Formats: sequence, structure tokens, C-alpha cells
Amino acid sequence: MSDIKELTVAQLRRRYDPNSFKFKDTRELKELKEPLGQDRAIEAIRFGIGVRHQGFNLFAFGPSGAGKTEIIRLYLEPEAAKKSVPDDWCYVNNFTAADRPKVLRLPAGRALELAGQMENLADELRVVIAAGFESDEYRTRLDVIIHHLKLRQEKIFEDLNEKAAKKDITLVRTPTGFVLAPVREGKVLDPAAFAELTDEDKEKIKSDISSLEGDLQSTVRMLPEIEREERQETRKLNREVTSFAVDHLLDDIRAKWKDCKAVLAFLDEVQEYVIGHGDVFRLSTEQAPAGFPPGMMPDYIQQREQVISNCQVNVLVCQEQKGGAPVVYEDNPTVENLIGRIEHLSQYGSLITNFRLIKSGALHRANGGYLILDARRLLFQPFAWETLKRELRSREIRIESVSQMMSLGNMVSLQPETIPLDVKVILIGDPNIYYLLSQQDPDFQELFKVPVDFDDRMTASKEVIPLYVRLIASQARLKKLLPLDPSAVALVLERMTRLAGDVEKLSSHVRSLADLLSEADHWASDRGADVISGEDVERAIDAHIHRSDRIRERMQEQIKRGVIMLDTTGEKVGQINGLSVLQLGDFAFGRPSRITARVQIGRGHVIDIEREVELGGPLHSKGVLILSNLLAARFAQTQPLSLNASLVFEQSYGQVDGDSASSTEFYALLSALANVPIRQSLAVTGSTNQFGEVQAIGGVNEKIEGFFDICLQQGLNGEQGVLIPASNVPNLMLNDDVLAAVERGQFHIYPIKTVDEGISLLTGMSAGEADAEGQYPKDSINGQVQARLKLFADSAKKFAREQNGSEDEKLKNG
Amino acid sequence: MANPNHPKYRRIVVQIDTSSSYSEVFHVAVDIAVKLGAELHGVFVEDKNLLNIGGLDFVREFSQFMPTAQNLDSSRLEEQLKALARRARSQLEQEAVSRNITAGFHTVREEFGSESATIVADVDLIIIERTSRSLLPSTLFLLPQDKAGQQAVRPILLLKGDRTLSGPLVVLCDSQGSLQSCLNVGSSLVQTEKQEILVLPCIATASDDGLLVENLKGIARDAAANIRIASPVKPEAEVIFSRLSASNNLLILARNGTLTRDRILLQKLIESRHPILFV
Repeated sequence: MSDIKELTVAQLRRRYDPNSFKFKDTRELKELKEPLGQDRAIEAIRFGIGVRHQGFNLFAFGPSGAGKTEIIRLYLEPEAAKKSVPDDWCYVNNFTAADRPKVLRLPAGRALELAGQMENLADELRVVIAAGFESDEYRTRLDVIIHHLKLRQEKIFEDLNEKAAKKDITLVRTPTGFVLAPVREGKVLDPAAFAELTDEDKEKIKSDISSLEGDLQSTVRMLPEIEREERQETRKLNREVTSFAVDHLLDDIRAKWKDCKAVLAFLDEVQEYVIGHGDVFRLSTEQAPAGFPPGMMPDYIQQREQVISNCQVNVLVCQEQKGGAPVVYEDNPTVENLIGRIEHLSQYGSLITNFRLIKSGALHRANGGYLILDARRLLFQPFAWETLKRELRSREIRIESVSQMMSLGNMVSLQPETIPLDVKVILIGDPNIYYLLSQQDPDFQELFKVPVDFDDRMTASKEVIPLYVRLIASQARLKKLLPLDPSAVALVLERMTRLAGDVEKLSSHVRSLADLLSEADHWASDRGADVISGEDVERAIDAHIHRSDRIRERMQEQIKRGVIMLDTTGEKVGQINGLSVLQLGDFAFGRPSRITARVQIGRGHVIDIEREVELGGPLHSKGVLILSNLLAARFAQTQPLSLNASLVFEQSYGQVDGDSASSTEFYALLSALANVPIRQSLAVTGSTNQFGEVQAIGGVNEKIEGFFDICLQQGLNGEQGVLIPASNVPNLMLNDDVLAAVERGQFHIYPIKTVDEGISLLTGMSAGEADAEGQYPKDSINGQVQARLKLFADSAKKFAREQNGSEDEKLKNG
Repeated sequence: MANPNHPKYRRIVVQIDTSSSYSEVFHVAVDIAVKLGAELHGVFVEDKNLLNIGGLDFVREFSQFMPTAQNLDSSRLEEQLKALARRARSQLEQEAVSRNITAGFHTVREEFGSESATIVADVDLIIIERTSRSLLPSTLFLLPQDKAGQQAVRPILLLKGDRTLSGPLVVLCDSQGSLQSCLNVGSSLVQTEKQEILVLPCIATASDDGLLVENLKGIARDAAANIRIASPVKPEAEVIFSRLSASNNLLILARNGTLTRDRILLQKLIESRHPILFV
């Protein structure tokens, strides 16, 4: 018989004594400002924030809800506030290549000031330049230029006409040019009159006209030159008028930016541009023909507005002068939200754009500071990850649309000048993403050299527990919840230890803590209390479980009605109660299953039926192979393992994975081989290695509670219990019902170290130890197994001999 | 309230031909038609002299847009004239629609500037554009004695390529009798609110100065318009031009007065850059 001692109640759950807390409620506790249990992560954050070299960006990873973003912000924001405010960034028109807008870098907080000044300038330009062109002085000078042109044109034609008149020839304007024609008495000679002239007169007229045609040709060729001179004169006049109006307006702005060379250079360009396009200001809006819809203004008004628009400043980023370095969190890290975008306007069916339609992205806003991104969201956005890496590698922001990256379409767009990038990126994600990127992306280690590893648990030491209690108080305060009394705090601590899955630990999952407190606050408020008590915490836990345990209830009901067959009393050969865990959302529960084993003569195969039908995962298969080898190692040292065995999770219709049932399956196999029944009042969990040692498994609490619930349902008889790996004892944080049953001696938890301990407990027989020849005592389980396997081997040998004899006989006769 | 002395303008004719800057002249004509609420009739004149030239096979056309001279034949010339007329008609119709006035268009084969080219009945105002008109001697159509007594005298507005008539208004007054009609026509046709009309007495004999000026002042006082009487000048082109402002003025003078009978003065006024309203 086994002498395994069952666990005491004290070993099944860690208790936090409410009386050890010296406060009435958590209002008396100081707020905990420092994060708890994340020393490694905090050290990495401090290092990562401080080092300014390229590539030392941070990747913070840990379980979701661990408060990564809040902790990073907690350390980042004070650090950022100490830094100098980065410069403002604007785009302005490139007056020599409009499709390549230029960058304008301004002292922090002054970009909007310049933009406002340029807008005011636009208003002034419309009025002042138009007034200049409407002035009497301008009109007079323009009239003089035009009249002078006309006079010159007329003069050259009059000179020719006078010369022609002496020969009775006149110069006539036609729709497309000029001709020389004979004239008599002030009228052109018509063809009939010309025909009546003598041949001599006709020849003279023709000769005279021919002699004048050279002059006419020279005169006509002078016309473009005269017109060009007139245009130059007019342009010169317009420049003078515009320059007079623009100079003093820009001088006012220059005076305010005398310490900023980039702005002065920009203003010089604006001045030259406006003066060069002064013509478009000659007609005011009031003089425009009426009746044009806004989008179809006459061309010259559009041109004027275009000129004014080209002188404006597109402010991408304007920092607050006293704000320190920016800390930007981009919730939706698409390519466009990261690097900005170039928008387009639809005009007459075409998409057009200009430098004013360039919009900033998160990198612009975070430039000179810090950018926080969610790694998973970043990776899910097409091209976003590659784009971010490219920008960080090149250390400049290049605005490029996805269609440009993919060379899709040929829409007219811009190539804005790149902006120097100096930003620290902090990616936040789960460990899987971090390890995946580390292994698969060669750029990742170059660009994200600082891992910030958030732990999901902390040691529940004497020093930590008071701090954790302050964390509970801080969370309650932060969420504006009712304060907690000591009993509530103790239960919260127990719950957080249960979530950590280790009696020596407390979960650092801040979201779970906050959720539990919020739910307890709800129930406390519901009963009109002004303090959260232990009762409220218990109710919150129960209610949370109840909301999620519909499937568990359905399963228990199926077992109760016998649909799912499971015995909790009696004994059976080759049949055992195994335990598995089902995880549904954030709720996990134990599911007892019947595991059976059948044996027969064979060639040493242990068939895992789950694997055969592809319902078993690789870890489960691994467990079955281990137990096969354990069996062979024990019993096939002097004879072949001449058996075929089959193992199955009865009434299991879904995937089974994990090796936590390997010891259980081994027990079922031993029982079947030894033909010794197993107590059905016990359930088993634990994996085994090839030496028969029982190893720790996960979900031990859920498994025990799962079997307990079934036993409770079918009636506790004092025999029932669970065999768990001894190494799982530190993980036990069982619920009150189990503890009460154990207390009353109605339920038992056995810590098992080896499969021999387990089988002896399950069968009530000694496992037996092998002697020097490897023989087990005959009255032990192992001895009976050995005997059965020898029987199989002998039978197989005999059968083979008979078979061979039969074959020889056939050959002889044949 | 309308001045009862002001003449009524219900029908305006604007004459154009191959030499006209019709875009500008239509713009001014439409402005005036809108102001007066009048109908506007465009008349494109296919000049007889020009068509005669088409029959002379030795005549060649020179243009700044053609590298060599081209022979000019009648059919090509007529096609060009028709195309020009179509463009002018289209332009006038667009202007009329956009400004909501009634407009018509006609093509005649006449001498440009002749009264007979104005084929529309009961015309109250004729508008002519004069760019390069001096090339044809027949543009001196304005000689008043040619048509005097045959029909009612109606104003003629001679434009010089301007798109608007915004310059100062100057009445060249040669007699007390002509001033009233010049003021009436000028103020009703082109004067804008608060715009001043300068009356420049042009008297050949110095002894008449004082009396004429006094009488003119009396007329100016009685008139509703904003009028200023300048000191008299001799009726010589250079003297008159020296008293005008530097920008383009709109000169108003009587069609049958002594100034228009002076052919040399008239020629210089026509050739000047100032538009002229003959009343």
C-alpha cells in the first residue's frame, strides 16, 4: 500500500491575514507612484529613454493588460518635459519646381505666427496691389505705353501709306494682314475699273505696288518687335507697381524674423514671385464678371488666388513653446498616419494637389521626442512596418503614398523635401511578436536594441505585500472606486496569487486587478456600502465566474445525466479519470475525462487513438511516446515487448494536446496489463518522463476544482481525491469549497513524485521494485505487468514458431 | 428720378469690321446698353473697298504670322470675313446673355462708318471702334454737313481700343448752344455717380471768352450733373491736349459744331488716344 500523505488545507491555498493590515480601509494608504514588480522593465525604460544613439529604440513586451503603456508614459513624460522643445516644421512652395515643396524649419512655437502673417499678407496683397493698378498714375503710365505702341505702329504704316499715296496706292488692312491696292479718288480701284486701264497704266500700278511690297514686308516684320517691346515695358511697369506695394508689406514681416535666415530667404522668394506675377492682381474680384459659380471663377482670378496660395505656409507641426519634447501615441499606425499624406482635390474631374495639401503624420508630430506605437496594430497595417523601418534607417521623413510605393497609378503628386528625423520609437506588444521579429526580421535588432520585458508576476515577499496593498489602494483611487477594508484587500491578494498560479507570487496584471476592484465596487455600491469588503470581492469573483461558466455547467450536467460517462466510485481495470483544462476567453475550468487502455499480443506498439484520428496535438503524442518507452525500459530488457496497446480519451471529440495526461495514461496501461482495477474515486494529472518521474503541469487548480465539482455533484464519499505532481504543490490556490471538503476529510489531494507512487495509490497494491535481474515481486503491480508481458512474449514466440513450422511443412510438401 | 431733359436711348448700334478690336468695343457697348436698358445691335461691315481688292489678282497680302506674301483672291477674302463675323456674333451673344440684354447681329456690305451701314431703324446711338482707322480716308465719315438735315442727328461714340470708359469726361465746348446737349448726352450715356464733367471752352476769338464762360457757368449751375467750367482755350489740338489729364479722357463735342468742321483738328482728335463722343 502507498504511504503517500495527502496535502493539508494549509498547503492548498495561501491565505493573507486581514488582521496583519494596520489600516481601517485603503484611504489611509499612501498612493503608490512607482510601478511594482517591474524593476527589469523600468531599468530598460530608463536606459532606452536616456541613450540617444541611433537604433536604441524600445520594444516593450509583456502580457496584455500589464499596464505597459501607462508605465512607459510614467517614466517618459517627465523625461520628455525636461528636454528642449523641438523646432516647428512647415512646407512652403518651391517657386522653381512646384512639385517639390520645400521644408521650412522654424523656432519652436513660431510656425503659426508666420502662417498668420502670410495670411494677412495675402489679404493686404489683394487690396494694395489692386489699388496700385487702379491708381491714376498706373493707368496713365500704361496708357502712355499702349498709346506709344499704337503710335509707333501707326507711324510706320502711315509713313508707308504716305509713300504709297504718291503713287496712288493705299495700304489696306485685311482680316489677316495688309495689302497694297491702287486707289482713285479715295476709293480702291475695283477690278472692272482696273480692267479698263491701259496696259501701260496697269503695268505701272503693278510695278509701283511691287516696288512698295518690300517696304510693307519690312514694316510687317517690325510689328512683333514693337509688341514685344510694349510687353516688356508693361511688365516693367507692373513690376514697379507690384514691387512698391509688396516691399513695405514684406519688410514688416522681415523685421519680425530677422534672426531666422530660412524665413528671410523664403520671404525673398515670395517677394520675387509676387512681383513676377503682379499682372494677376490687376483685376479685383469686384470687377470680375458676375454669375460665375465659386469653382469656375475666371482664369485671372484663379491665377491670382493661386499666386496668393503659393505664398502661404503649410504648418505641419507647431510645438508648444513650453511643452518639452513631444510624446505622441498613434492609435492607428497606418502608413499615412505615420509619415503623413498628400491629399488631392477634385477639380473639373481631375485630382490636383499642391504643397498646402500635405498633412503631417505621427512621425512629424513626434520628431524631436518620442513616438509610442502598438506593435500588433503596426504589423497589421499594410506597408506600415516597412515604412517605419525605412524612416528610422534613413533618419528622415519621406512622404510617399502607398500607391506610390506600389507604383500604382500615375496620379500627379508631389515629392516634398524630406525632413530630418530624430525620434525615439517605443513599440508595445506581446512577447510573441518581439521574439518573432527578433528571429525573422534582420532589421529589427538594428533598430530596436532595447527590449523592455514586463513580468506577469512578482514575488509575494514580506516587502512586496505592503507595496501591493498600496497598489490596490492606488488603483481604487485612480478608478474613483470605494475604498477597501482589510478583508477585501486580503481576498484581492489571494485572487491575484491565484491568477499568478503560484503561492509565492502575485500577478502584476494591472488590468485584472482593476477589473476585480471595479466589479467589487459595483457590488458594494449595490448594497449601499461605503467600503468594499471581502464579501464584495467574493461576490465579484463568483459573479465573474458565473458569467462565463455556461459551458462548464452544461458539461457537468451531461456527466450527471450519464451522457458523458465518468465514475467517481468503484474500481475498473484499464480505466482512469484524467483531467484537462478548457480555456474559454478569460475563463478556464477543469474537465474530467475517462481514459481507457486495452492490451493484446502485438509487436510493441502503443497506439494513441487521438493521434491516429488526428485529434491529438504534438505534445500529447510526445507524452504517449514517452510512456511507451518508459514501459519498454522497465519491462523489455530481456524479452521483446510483444504487445499492442491502445489509449483513448473517451467521449472526447475535439483536439487534445499537452502531455499532462501521460502519467494517467501510463496508469491505465499498467492496470490493463496487470489486470488490476483502478479506484474511480480518484482523478490524476501530471506528465511523466522516461524514468517514471511525475512532472509539473499547468492549470492544476482548475483541474482539481473540476473533478471536485463532479464528485460533489455525484456525492462526496470521503474516498475521492486527485493525484497531482508534487512539484505543483506551490501552485495550489484552491477555492473555499474544496478547502472545506478537504478540511472535513471528504476530499483528498495527493502529491505524487513517481508513477510507482501513483499506481500504488490508485490500485492499493505496491508498485514493486526490480531486483538485480530486473525482476519485480510477483504480488506487486509491476510484477504482474511483467508476468503478463512475459506471457505475451511467450505466446508470440510460440505463435511465430508454429507459423514458421507450418511454413517449413509447406515448403517440404511443396 | 430720370432727368426729363435727358434723351432716351432704346437702340444702340455698334459697328465693327476687320480692323476693329471687337472684344473691347462689345464690352463697352454692353456696359452702356445695360446702363440705359437698351437693345444692342452689332453690325459687321464687309467693306466694299476691301472686297474690291480681292478682285485684283496681282495684290498680295503680308502678315506677321506668315513667312511669305500670299496672293489674295475674292473667295478666300470672303471666307475670312464670314469667319470673322461669326466670331464677333458669338462674342456679342455671349456678352448679351451674361448681362441679360437684348442683342441682334447683322452683316452688311458697305463702307465702314457710313450712315447707310447702320441698317437698324430708329438707332439712338452708334458706337464705332477706330483702331488703325486712319489707314482709310473714308473714315472721315463724321463730316456733319454730309448728312445734315437729312435725318435726326444721333450721337456717335468713337472708341480707341479701351475696354472701359472710366477716364475723365471732358466736354470740348465750342458754343453755348452745344453745351446743353453735350451735357445731357454725356451724363446720361457715360457719366457715373459723383463723376465730374469738365467743360473746356474752345473759343477762336478771345473777346468772346468772358461772356461765354459766364453763360456756361449759368448752364452748369442749372444742370443736375457735377460740372466744372475750365478756363477757355484756343481750338488747337496741341493746346487742347495740354489741358487734358494724362490718362485717357472721354472727349464730348458737338457733331455739328465749329470744332468738327475744322478738318485738321478733327483728324488729330480722331487720331489721338482719347475716345470721343460726338453729340
